Amino acid sequence: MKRKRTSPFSHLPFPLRLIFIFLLTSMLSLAMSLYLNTNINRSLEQINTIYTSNNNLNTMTETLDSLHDNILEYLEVKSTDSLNNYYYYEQQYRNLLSDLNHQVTDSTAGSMEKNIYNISQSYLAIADEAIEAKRARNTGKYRTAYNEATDYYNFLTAYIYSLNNQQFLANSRNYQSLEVSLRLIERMNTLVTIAMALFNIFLIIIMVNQITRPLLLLASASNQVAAGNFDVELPPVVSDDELGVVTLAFSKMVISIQEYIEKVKSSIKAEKEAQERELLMETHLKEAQLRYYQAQINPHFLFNSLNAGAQMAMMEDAEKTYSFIQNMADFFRYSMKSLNTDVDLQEEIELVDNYVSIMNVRFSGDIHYEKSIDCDITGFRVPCMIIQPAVENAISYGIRNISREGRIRLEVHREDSEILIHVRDNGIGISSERLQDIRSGKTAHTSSDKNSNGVGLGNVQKRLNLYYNKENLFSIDSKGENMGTLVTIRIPVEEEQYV
Amino acid sequence: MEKKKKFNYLTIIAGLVLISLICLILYIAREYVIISALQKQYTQNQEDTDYQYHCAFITSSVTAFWDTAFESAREEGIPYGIYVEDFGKSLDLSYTTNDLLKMAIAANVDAIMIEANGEYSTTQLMNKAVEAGIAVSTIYRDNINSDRYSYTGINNVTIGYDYGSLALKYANDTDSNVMVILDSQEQDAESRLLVSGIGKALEEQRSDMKLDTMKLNNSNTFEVEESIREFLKNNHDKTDIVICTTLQQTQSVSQIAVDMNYVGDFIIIGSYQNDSVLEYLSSGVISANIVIDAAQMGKRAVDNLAEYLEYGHTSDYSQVDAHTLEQSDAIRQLNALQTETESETGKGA
Repeated sequence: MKRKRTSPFSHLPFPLRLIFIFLLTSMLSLAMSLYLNTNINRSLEQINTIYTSNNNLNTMTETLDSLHDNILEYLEVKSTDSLNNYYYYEQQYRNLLSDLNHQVTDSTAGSMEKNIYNISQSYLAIADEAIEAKRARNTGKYRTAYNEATDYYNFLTAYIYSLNNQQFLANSRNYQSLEVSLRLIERMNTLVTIAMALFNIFLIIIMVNQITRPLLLLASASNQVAAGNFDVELPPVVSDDELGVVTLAFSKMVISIQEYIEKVKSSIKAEKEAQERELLMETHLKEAQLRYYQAQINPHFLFNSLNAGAQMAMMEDAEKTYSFIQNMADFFRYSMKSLNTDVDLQEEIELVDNYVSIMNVRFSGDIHYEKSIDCDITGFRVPCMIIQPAVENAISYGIRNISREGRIRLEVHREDSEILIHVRDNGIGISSERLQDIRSGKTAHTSSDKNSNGVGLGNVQKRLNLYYNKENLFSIDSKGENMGTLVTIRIPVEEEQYV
Repeated sequence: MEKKKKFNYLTIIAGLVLISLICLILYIAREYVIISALQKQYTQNQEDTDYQYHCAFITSSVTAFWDTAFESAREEGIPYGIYVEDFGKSLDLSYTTNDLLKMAIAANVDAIMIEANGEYSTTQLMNKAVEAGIAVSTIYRDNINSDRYSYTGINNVTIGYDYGSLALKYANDTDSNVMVILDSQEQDAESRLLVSGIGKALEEQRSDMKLDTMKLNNSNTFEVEESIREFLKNNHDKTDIVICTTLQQTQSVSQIAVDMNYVGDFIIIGSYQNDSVLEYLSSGVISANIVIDAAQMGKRAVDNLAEYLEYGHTSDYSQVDAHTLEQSDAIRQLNALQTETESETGKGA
């Protein structure tokens, strides 16, 4: 399950992200509108202030005219009104002067302002002198002062007039520049608005893409799963929002389904294997049965005949004959009822006892049979006819043709989780080469002669393997020729219990 | 597959929007630069350079000579922190020298450079300025009766001697009548010095030469040409050499000589230079000119002022050089001008 983060906002819930997009674009648009308004307002303010200097100069001229008129009036009639007006306009004029440049500068306008400022100071000084002289009734002095003041007044009028003209020309040029600038700002504002709109669109596309892309991936993956393709590439979990939760749940679901399918597949396979094994086992059993049927006459007929023979021997008081025939009858009865099923181990051992006693009649008691059972074998179920073939093999190939006393020993004991059944003889044994051939399956150590009951050791081995689903449950060992043979059968205890 | 298509579709739209956005931003940036430049221009209109001193440059006439002198003085003043103002030039009305002086005093300037005259009222005003603490100096024309601290200009005797020498250079053995046209603004003392300089030069070589003067009344600008025309009409055959002491005289005499076919009847020795004077010189209408170095005059006047403002004293008199301009010089200057014009035209093309 891929899990990656593509956005710092991926942990935010879905609705919050949508709100964030709308808020961001709205705020950007608002900020842009404010900026554009500020721009336009600033330009308008600049345009408004362009002709301020002309207005100020006009006011200055008017104030100067009024001031000079009042000086003349006071000098002529010495009225209180004119004196008050004089002081009023003088103050007004001084206030207006304070806005003028009075530093040395190389700009024409600045230089003119400085000259106006200084000539005005001289004018005001001489005007004051004239007023004071009038008060003192010094006619000559105030006349001279007034004439000088008039000269200065004329200079000032000319200067202010000329400066006003120059300022007007300069301001007109500035006005044109600012007008062009304002038009450009208007155009720029339109362009900025378009740019802002484009930026918002871009932002929305990016955000929408970010939100819908995982959804589309999830939809595509769902379609594939719906079509039965469970090997689909799982969509990555790119966010911690609701979509991320759904994607994660989907991925988990797909993985669970995949695991479940795997489990079902493996159980089907195991079942199939078990069926095959069972089939094979049945095949071997059928093979054994076939051999059995081929090798003898009708067992029921034989069994009934033997019972009749036993009764006859009893009537004739032939005890040994009776016992022999009875053993034969038991042996065949056992073979009849339990060849295709499992039996108690005890029954298997009893079958061996019967078989040996029958064979001792044939061989005139030459077979010395011993058995040693060192553990509790009650209730252990084993496949039928697994020990008798080994004993038969010991008789037929081991002790039958020896001159010395033939011995067969059956041992049953428990070792860890197994019950070991040993069939040991002191017969002719098996050379190591032949033993090798037997183990590798090149030579079947099974006789099919007329003395055999038809069930060979190879069959026993295969049935054991199939019954317990394990290898190495049957083994033949010999230390060499004339050293006897040992057949070992291993019965797994757990398997036995299970069965 | 559908998912891929959807993704590509969104990517293409986003890409197109992004490209448009970038183009638009670049265009806006360009507009912004233009607007900034325009607004900067507006701001610069209001920015000035500060100076330490304010000097009023007052002359009675407006000519190329004075333009050159003023421009030179203005440039020379910048490193000293002296702002030299062509006083009254920015006014829409014309004012007399005395009015301009009054204005300068009332404007409380730090210094006045004035083309002086001998009038008593001017002297009074100059002295009033000095009393008000203004550094007053004279330029080109002096007023020795005033309290000015320095004079920067020509030596009239030397200039007169140069005029006389040039007259002798171009005069034939038979030429004997020399007429000197004097400007009415010329003070008597200055005129006398000038004429004596000419006389001295003539006497040194030709004792037979007769020197006459004619003082024009130029209170009305248009009368100068009329007076000269009248004089030459009556006296062109009696005059061998005409010496003009101003640019206006030089141009008027030359034009009249051409108009009335007097070229060759008399030798013209002129003063100052401009393009038409150069043309007259190159074509031989004018024989030679005396040219005063106006730029040097303006420069030296400001140097003296700076020295005076710093130390409280300076040279009482700074002489300005004058040089002679003859036909070959005029042709060379005209060629140089023509080459310069052609190269500028070439650049313009």
